[in-house]
Amino acid sequence: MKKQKNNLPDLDFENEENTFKSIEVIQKEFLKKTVKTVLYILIVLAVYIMYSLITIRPELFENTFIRLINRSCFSNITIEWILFSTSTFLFVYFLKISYLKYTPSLISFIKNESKNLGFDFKKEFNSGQIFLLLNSVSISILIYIDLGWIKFEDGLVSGFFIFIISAYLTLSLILPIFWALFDDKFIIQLKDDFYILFDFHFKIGKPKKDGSNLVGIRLTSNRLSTKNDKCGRIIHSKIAKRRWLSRRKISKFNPYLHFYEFSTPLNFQKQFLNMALALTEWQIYYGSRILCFDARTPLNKIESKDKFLDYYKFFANFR
Amino acid sequence: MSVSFEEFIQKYDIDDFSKILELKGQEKVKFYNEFIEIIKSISRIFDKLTNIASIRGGQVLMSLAKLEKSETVINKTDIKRSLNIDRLEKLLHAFEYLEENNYINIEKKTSKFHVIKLNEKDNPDFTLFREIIQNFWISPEEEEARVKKWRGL
Repeated sequence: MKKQKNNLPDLDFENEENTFKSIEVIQKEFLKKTVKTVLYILIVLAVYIMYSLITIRPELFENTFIRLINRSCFSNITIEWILFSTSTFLFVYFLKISYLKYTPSLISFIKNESKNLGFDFKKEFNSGQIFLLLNSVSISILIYIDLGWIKFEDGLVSGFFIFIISAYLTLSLILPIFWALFDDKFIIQLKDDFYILFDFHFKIGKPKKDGSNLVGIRLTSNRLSTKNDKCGRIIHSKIAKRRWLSRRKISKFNPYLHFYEFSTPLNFQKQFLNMALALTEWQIYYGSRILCFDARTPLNKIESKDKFLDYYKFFANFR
Repeated sequence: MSVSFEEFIQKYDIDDFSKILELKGQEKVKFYNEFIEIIKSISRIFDKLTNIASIRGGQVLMSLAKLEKSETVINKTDIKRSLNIDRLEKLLHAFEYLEENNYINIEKKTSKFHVIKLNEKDNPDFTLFREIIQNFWISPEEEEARVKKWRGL
């Protein structure tokens, strides 16, 4: 197996032997990544447990460096907040990282395939930056309070300030956690309003010669419309059927329509272009609303062919 | 004997909308038999494509059939470009397999320049295959161009 310029093995899925070797590389990398992440989680937990012990049983750490930090000019609240928020965020972040099945070689492979098509595959993990930004503000405020630069004589104003700062502290932790859980993603931006998200899947066990170690890439489009939008549902259904797009449903509770596609590393380009062209068609047909001129008609009646005479003509032009 | 979709359309003037298509007796039976022959040929094409052992083999055949519409001389690089494949090595196994199985003919003009043709003589179903592909299949290269146009690139 060749090595790339960045020292990552060049994955090859063109024949059975190389596919087997590539899967082995992916699994080894994933194992390494998981061990590393678990280690980080343990370090974070150890720090947090240690701090809890300092606050509950301070006599255990008498005459130690840790005790010195605790006796510094900063109040317990400031130190406790720094440790609590950082460890909680890192715990969630590392859990998310270990859940996501990606490895450096696989990412590099997809990057090359996308680059070959003229697209930029990006890893957008912004939760860390958001956490740093929001938390540095909260820590600064807490330090200002400790140093006495922020203080209120009036009890009412002081109460209101405590309420505001408590709300901000809570938000500064919850927001990055939600961001890490739901918005850190692998993405290709096609146009301003159109993008495709990527999700990697493979089995972690030892690679098998029988080919059951399929490496899969799930592609999900941006939100198209709400499920209540009849016009959207009709056009979505027509395009998805015509392009053989995957009909899997992420969740019954998701109120939005998306396109889904499944690919393996070998047919990644083809499946990606299929999805991109589905979005092209969506923009043309949904924008024009030609296909659903009577959204009040019950859906089963709208789907009859006579209501979609233009649709076939349009798709014929699209070939 | 090879089945041709275009000949079938012309024979019964199916694409001439000024005429009424009226089939009676023997003519209708003949029409039906020819139509079934086309479907059978399509089914054999499916069978052939799905049984090509080389992973990229089916794609190479489709690309070759498509390029035969616009190019008189087709080489391996043309197929590589049409399929949007970054390296020719990815297709070498497919070329080898298709040649061994008599699906394509490779004429070696020089050590590096090889002209490739679909072997319709030994595979009569390839006539219909070529017609279908040339009229209805969109190659990855064309798909890419379409997406780029949509993105305004």
